[in-house]
Amino acid sequence: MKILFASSFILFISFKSFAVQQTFVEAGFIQWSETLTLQQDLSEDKDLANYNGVVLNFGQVKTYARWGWRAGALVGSGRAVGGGSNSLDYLATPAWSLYGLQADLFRRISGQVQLGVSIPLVKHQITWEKSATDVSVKAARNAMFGVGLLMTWRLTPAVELNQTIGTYGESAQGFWRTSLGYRF
Amino acid sequence: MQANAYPDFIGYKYSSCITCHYNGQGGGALNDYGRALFATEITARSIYSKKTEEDTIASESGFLGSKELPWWIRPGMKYRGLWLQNNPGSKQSSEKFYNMQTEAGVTIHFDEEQKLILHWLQGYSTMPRPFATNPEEKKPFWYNKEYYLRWQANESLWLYLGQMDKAFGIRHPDHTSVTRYNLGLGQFDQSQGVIAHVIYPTWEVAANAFVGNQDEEADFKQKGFSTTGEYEVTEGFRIGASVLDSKSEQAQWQRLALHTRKALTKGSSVLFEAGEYKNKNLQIANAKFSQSGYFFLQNLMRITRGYNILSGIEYRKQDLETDSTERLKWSVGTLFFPLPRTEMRFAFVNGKTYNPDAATVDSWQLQSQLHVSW
Repeated sequence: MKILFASSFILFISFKSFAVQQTFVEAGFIQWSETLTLQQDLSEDKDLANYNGVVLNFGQVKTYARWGWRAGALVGSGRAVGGGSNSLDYLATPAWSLYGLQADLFRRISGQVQLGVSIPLVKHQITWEKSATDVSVKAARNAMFGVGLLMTWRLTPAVELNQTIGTYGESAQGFWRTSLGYRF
Repeated sequence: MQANAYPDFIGYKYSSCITCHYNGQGGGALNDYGRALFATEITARSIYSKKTEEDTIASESGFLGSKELPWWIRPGMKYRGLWLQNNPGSKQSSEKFYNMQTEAGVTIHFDEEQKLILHWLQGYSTMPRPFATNPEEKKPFWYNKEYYLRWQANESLWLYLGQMDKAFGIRHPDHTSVTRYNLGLGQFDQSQGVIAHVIYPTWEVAANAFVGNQDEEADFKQKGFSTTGEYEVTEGFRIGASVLDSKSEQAQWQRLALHTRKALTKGSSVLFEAGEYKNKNLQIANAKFSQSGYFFLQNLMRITRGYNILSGIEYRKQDLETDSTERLKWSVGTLFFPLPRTEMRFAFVNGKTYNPDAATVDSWQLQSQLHVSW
């Protein structure tokens, strides 16, 4: 029993001694696509919307000897292109914004390289106006849950390059994020 | 042994290409040191027992294995094949196999210190050259890829005369990438000319005057100059810049790029290049330059010796002055060197297009490459 207690204590101390908790902020680009449903009178057609913009992530990162986690809040904005390839003649380029949360779990491949999983949960706001020909849009759900592969290259102890590639909820297309982060 | 340039290997703290390649700009044949380093640092040692010394592995990296060739001759061969599947899993899925590269060459040393060498590389291609204008030229063909005399004038200056890749930007193996294909620095774009390359421990500059590829028709030969340089800010962190200006009867080219290479922990690195390229069609009266922009980001993540994850992002905007189409390409995959002289790549490539006139479906590609160099 004493040995077990001593081992647990040593393990606890070693974890404590290796753990570093920091605040991070990162800024980068995001791209994803989603399906649009176009409606005109009784007709319906499917098309696509491509989203392109910038996103900020702010939160806490905790790094142990071999692994770590991050949790942050996301805000972003940009422009989308919707339509253009459908029988109902619809094309719009509205602005969008998003906010949400993101949780990451990563393995430290080495001191400067990390590989992990990123789980963003975001809600985006966009208004698809009716076209002059009275085509309206039923967009995908605003709330999106995603899973992505997260790769991190720590350029310096404070500056890192993050890349995420994965999928967002209803979209069959991939989403990308590339950002520069700063830890302090 | 022939090898393409791997600027990512700054991750092993080898900043200058001349350490491993006969061509100080990288790419092409490896020298003896480069062969040994490839075998003992880059390649997995899974076929060797734990008792095998690294020196033994290095000594087996020659063209004939451990049998030494005369000091004055170094032959080499290379093959690269690519299998790809477009849009895997969809109804539009298609597959294709390319024999991308089949090359054989030889380097002759005129003196034991290798101050004067002659390098010649013959290629066989089953893919049409971009400048092929008649059906005959689109058939498989043998061609002189590169040939040059290299003279080391002093400790810091190397002079090259012959047909070589132009000195510009980050030189890496993906000849379809924006930094190569779109800039006219692709698989068949070597050019006859001279290069003066000055190398110091913390900086290097190469100046290149060129007159076009020997196989191009006279009207298409781009004649001009390029310059590229790098400065080592700290060990394993370099920044650089490149310019190119050239003209043929058909078109005028101007290119400008900034780049950086950063080593991380052993074997891992980040490369970045951004720039603009301008083309003017000289066959149209009063034509203006088209002005395009790009960036290229490539990251190598070493998992263990011989096994890496390679990720790359490319961005290109066709016309910087208008709200034109933007193209992005992201590849994520593996770069393995599991056996001596062998490279294997697997990658998912996702293409996105941001077109202001219509939403565009992503493209997906699964790629697999086998690369054997001897």
